[in-house]
Amino acid sequence: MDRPRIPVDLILKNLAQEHKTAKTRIKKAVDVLTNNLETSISTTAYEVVYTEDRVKLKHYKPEHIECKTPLLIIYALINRETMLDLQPNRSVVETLLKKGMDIFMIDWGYPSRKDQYLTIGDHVNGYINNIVEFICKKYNLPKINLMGICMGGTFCVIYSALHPEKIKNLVLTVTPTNFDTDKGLLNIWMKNTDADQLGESYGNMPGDLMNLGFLLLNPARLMIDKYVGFFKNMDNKQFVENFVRMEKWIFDSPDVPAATFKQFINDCYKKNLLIQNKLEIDGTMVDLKKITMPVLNFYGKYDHLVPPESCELITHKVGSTDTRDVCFNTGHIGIYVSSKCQKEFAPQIAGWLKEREDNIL
Amino acid sequence: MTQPSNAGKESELSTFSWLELATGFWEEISRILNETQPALNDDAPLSPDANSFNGKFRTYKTWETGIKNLTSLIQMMTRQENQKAASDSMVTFFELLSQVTGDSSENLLEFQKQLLNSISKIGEHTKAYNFDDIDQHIFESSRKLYDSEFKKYLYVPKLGLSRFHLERIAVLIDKFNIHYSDLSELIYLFFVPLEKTSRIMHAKIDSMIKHKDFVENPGAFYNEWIKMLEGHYMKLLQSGEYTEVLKNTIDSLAEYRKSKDEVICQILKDIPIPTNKDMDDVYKELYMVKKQVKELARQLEQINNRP
Repeated sequence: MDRPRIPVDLILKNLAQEHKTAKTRIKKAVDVLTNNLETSISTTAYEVVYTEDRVKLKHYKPEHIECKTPLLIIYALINRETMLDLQPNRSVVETLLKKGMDIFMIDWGYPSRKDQYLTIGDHVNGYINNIVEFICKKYNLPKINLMGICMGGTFCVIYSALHPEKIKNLVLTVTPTNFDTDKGLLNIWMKNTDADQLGESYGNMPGDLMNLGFLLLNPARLMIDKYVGFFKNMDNKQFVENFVRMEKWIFDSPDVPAATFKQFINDCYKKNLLIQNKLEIDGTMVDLKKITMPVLNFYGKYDHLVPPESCELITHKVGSTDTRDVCFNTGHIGIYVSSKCQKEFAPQIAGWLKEREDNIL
Repeated sequence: MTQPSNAGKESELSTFSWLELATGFWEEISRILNETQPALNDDAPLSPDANSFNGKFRTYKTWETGIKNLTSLIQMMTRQENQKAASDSMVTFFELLSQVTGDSSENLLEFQKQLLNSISKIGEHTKAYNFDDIDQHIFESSRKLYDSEFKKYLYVPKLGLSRFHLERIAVLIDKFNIHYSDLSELIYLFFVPLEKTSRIMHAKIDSMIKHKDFVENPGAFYNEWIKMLEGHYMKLLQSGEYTEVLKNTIDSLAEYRKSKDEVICQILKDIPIPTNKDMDDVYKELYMVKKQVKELARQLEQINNRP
């Protein structure tokens, strides 16, 4: 007799097997979850060398300096800079240190209600400029290297255009500069957001509310499938540790000062002023042509938050003749944490900066 | 001059008979209360711990006064010489009442019709990655009903000493209702992909059973379900409808929070606790002062650095 086309026996067998596996997995998972898990993030040693209000400057010293000019990394005001140092062997900071880079990184801290009036200008011409001057003075250098992440990259673009004399090389990573695109839900939603009203009612833009917005960008994957994946692997200690580290980072979201949020939404997302050289910061127009230093621009092909269309125009708009675009086949976060990008991203930055260093030690 | 119709006369007669009956009823109530509560009579001794009001409980006295006023009013209306005027006023009043309730009933009926339409759509055939048939009219209708029938009562002019506070509370109730409606719509929309995916998967399973072509691995079903769900969400989240509903929800949330803060600020005003508004003023001044000091420090440094 032919085998029936609906293999009921096989289906039942598979279900029974699944049930058995799940039972064993849960038993093992209890052991994993109740024992000591190493889930700390940002474990690379650093020293806080400068503080101003809530802002701190972290200094990561390499064992051997291979690049004389220090690199200042500026993270976004959304989420925290700990993403660059999630775990050993998956840390942009660690890789850059191994390549002999002297790194400074801004920790924006947690803005409180009293910070609600801080504008983009206060961040760029205030905190960032003070920190750049602090580093220049410390090393007795006229210029330093600058690297920006996402919104931090936008701040770096503004800073480099306003203070080009202080920046030697500019590295941009997943940096939105052109907001005239409907690619990516964030672009669509932000154009419809009444930032003024939100700012008025919340004081600052709550991090939790923004995180909810990010989850809503792909609810099937981020709210269901991710945790199904966790359930399937929760008996794997290493998987659980990595998963918890990522969760720790994702749901550690400081609020964004209301005035900055309003300015970013209105002037950038809605009016797209930056790329048109029409953005005014503290009374001065941001002219991208003044960015004459070398520019290295990274972005992700599958970035759903800052799509390539938002990133790739900047190298054509700056005054510099030494520009390079690098597009990775990954998303917004994958560029920093995926195993594949780990091997390429930070080493490329270090290599590119060293190539442009007058004095390689 | 038009003569009143027979039906009108009958209505008048029955109204006045009812009014006489009502007078009797309230007089009887008043009499029973007086008899069954001897302690409440004017000549009864004063109760030492009672909330006294010339020997009577305040509540009872208020009741009694109210009943007396009502019976007097009814008696006055039923007098021969006042019957015509009372009848005319009542006709006007009933006309007004019928107009108001008529409008409301019409709107309620319309809303009910929409609701029935929506319910009848449950279980209809659904197409994958197609959101043209999203039925949001029910929310639109309920919003219209709220705007036309309920909202206006919240904004009836408030009078007297508590006017200021009552106005703010009315705004808070209104903003909460609007936000609640927007949020319900957003949640409804958010569940549409889940519902759609489940229905399509169900149809797929039916088809597989029919064609005796089944997937052996149950995990493959989940993978297909999550992929389809993701596709449905992508389609929905990019749609203009969703963007608009999301915007409305966020806007109404912001307005609700603002109105809630205003009410809380009013409450806190009488307590020695600074409100957010007070602190925001202080923070703003602090921000301006810090900015000025930094600028002055910078200028001073420039002067000092001059050769």
